Amino acid sequence: MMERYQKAMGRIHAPADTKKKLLGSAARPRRSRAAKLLPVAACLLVLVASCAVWVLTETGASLLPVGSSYDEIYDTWYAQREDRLSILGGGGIAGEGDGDTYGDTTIMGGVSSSPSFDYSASDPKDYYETHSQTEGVKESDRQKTNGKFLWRIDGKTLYTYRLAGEDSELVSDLPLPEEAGFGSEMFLLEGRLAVITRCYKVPGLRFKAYTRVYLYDLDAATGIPVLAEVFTQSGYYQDSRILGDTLYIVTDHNGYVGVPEEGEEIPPETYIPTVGKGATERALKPEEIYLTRDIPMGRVGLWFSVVSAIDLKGKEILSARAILGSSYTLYASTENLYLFAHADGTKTKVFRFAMAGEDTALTGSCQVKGTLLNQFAADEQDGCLRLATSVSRSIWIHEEHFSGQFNCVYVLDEDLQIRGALEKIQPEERIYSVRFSGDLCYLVTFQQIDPLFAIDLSDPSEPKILSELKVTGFSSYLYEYGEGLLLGFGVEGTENGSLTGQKLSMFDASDPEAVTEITSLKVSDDWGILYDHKKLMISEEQGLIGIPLDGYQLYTYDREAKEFVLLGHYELLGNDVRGLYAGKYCYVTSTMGLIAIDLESYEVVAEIDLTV
Amino acid sequence: MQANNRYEAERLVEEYADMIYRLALIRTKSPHDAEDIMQEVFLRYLKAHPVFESSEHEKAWLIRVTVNRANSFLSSAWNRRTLPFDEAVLGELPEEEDGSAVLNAVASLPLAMRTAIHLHYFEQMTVKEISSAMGKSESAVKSLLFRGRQCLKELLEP
Repeated sequence: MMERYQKAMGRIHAPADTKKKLLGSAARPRRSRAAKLLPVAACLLVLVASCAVWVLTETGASLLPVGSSYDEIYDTWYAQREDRLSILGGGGIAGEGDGDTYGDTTIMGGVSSSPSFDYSASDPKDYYETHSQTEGVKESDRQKTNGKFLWRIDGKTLYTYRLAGEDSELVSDLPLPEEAGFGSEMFLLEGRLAVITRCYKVPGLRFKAYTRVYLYDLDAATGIPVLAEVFTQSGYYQDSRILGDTLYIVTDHNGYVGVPEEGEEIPPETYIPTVGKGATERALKPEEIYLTRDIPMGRVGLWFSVVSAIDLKGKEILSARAILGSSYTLYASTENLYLFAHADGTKTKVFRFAMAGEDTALTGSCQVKGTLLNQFAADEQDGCLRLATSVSRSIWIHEEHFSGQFNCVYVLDEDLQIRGALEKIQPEERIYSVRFSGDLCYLVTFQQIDPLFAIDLSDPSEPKILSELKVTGFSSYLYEYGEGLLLGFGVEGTENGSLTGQKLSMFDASDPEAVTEITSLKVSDDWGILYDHKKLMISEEQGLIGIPLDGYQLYTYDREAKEFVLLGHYELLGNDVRGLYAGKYCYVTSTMGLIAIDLESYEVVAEIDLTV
Repeated sequence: MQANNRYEAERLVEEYADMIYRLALIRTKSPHDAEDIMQEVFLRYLKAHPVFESSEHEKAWLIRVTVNRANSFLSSAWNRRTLPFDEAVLGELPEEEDGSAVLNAVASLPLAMRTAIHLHYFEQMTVKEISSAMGKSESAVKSLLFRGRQCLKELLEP
């Protein structure tokens, strides 16, 4: 067995071009253009930046400088990279905090007006829709349904099932085009399916990642997808949202070109991000790239975070924008898309893009301490952005390792200025789940036992802890299960902190000053952390909780008896098991097929095995 | 930097690039994070220019720094959605026998367990060396190796 591992691992090698880059960074022959510019880079940057500001104020687009030329973009990055290298030389790499300042805040214009979509008009649906953090903003999933059909994407195949209880059938298994790479997420929008894929090209030695959107029209009678358009965006796929008819897609593009030889020119297309529709592909224009002054250099490379807006009805790219630097997570309200990027000293840079109309412009940026766990660590209410972060500091001195942790909650106003903050919550632990709910923030941290904090944000300038409940294990996902109830999914543990399995918990949060655990139930002996909350199906209206563990388990919460009740436990082959309900049935799919469960008898009434 | 550094860097890349990349990869399960970590580890080496008594010391230093770097990547990117390990890593490789099964199985182990398994079975490090690289006691490393083997057996042997 271990020989097989040695053999398989032995076939993996560090990418050749990265090795080349490493040699480049050691030898450091200055590239001609940069070399000439460097001695005056600082003065030039100031000059250029002020020109750019002027230009943009003129056009009214935004006040954060964008590039005036590709050279300027490269040189901005290059100059900051030099700073970065000197930081690297100065001892520890990450984690040394630098005082208690909040960092800078940059504001460009006001918050844009909200788009006029009517979210209330939708009919009550009798089928499951992927849970959206923000009402009215759609999120992607591995499978989608309209109640009649179920579409599921597995790597290179797009499956269509017709949903009809015991008569359910596989309608088509459409292979994605060869160049598509792998797909694992999609959106459903009124008769259209947008499948997102990740693919890698290796032109010469350069490894390049692309994200593609395959837009399919769906045949109303058969549900069969017909390819209508393809969009391409360079970079590793990060996340996406749909607001109205517009798909917002964020990728991280690595344009690192190494340090060129003396006299060597670097063509911009080797490092500038690209977007494209069909067979056409274009590099972002300099004026579409924001010259972030303090580049989030969580990484060494020449990274760009690219945000494009695609009109799925008109099948057009509405806008494409990028910031210098990579981002690590995002959050979308119905007005703004926020990108969060690592900044030095375990800080996070926040970039706010307005999601309105034809353009996706940057409208502000700021910096806070710590790192966001995931999308749920951010929330916007009444123009205020609320964030929960964990600060983890880690430093090596000689051979000794020192580390420290604490957590913070911030309330930022419309100008992204800090209105209120709670810092140093539960030192030595870090956040495992967060949920904002109106004026409240629920926070779970963990080291040995799990305190669940309820934090009152009703006065944005003065957040305060209302209660702290300690239970064993921890919740890695929190869900508001109707009035006053909070559902937690997480890991069960003992009082000394060892982990023993996974559990469902129900908390009574009707009195935020005294949150209590009503009940909990161990659902698996295997422990692991739920990274993708979309694997769970939680429907309070239907009273269903679906968990893809040890096959598929269907639970309900009995409000009278105040306990979880197992409705059925089903065996299922294959990976990436997901469930959803439609009408009187629950359909559970995996890479190997589908089962249909009658929601009255909880018996399996149909089984489709893709392997036969 | 002088010419010396160029040779130093060439030697380092030649000897250790794959080692660092593989360790970072099995820890982060993401080729692009692994690539970044590799770059940072090298930059750190070239900047700090530590002097070692022997090549074992040098290797141990690089492994420890890689483990540490991969730690801070995980804490920040720990729940970033990434490609399934096999798609990301093996998508680029020719399909061969059951290589992907065993890589996936190791990758599916908890972080500390797969790190210990990788260092022991791939890098051929002793329990003592692993304990110092991972900052864990020798008995903890033994237990990780034992439990790791058990898990792999269950995963791979029907």
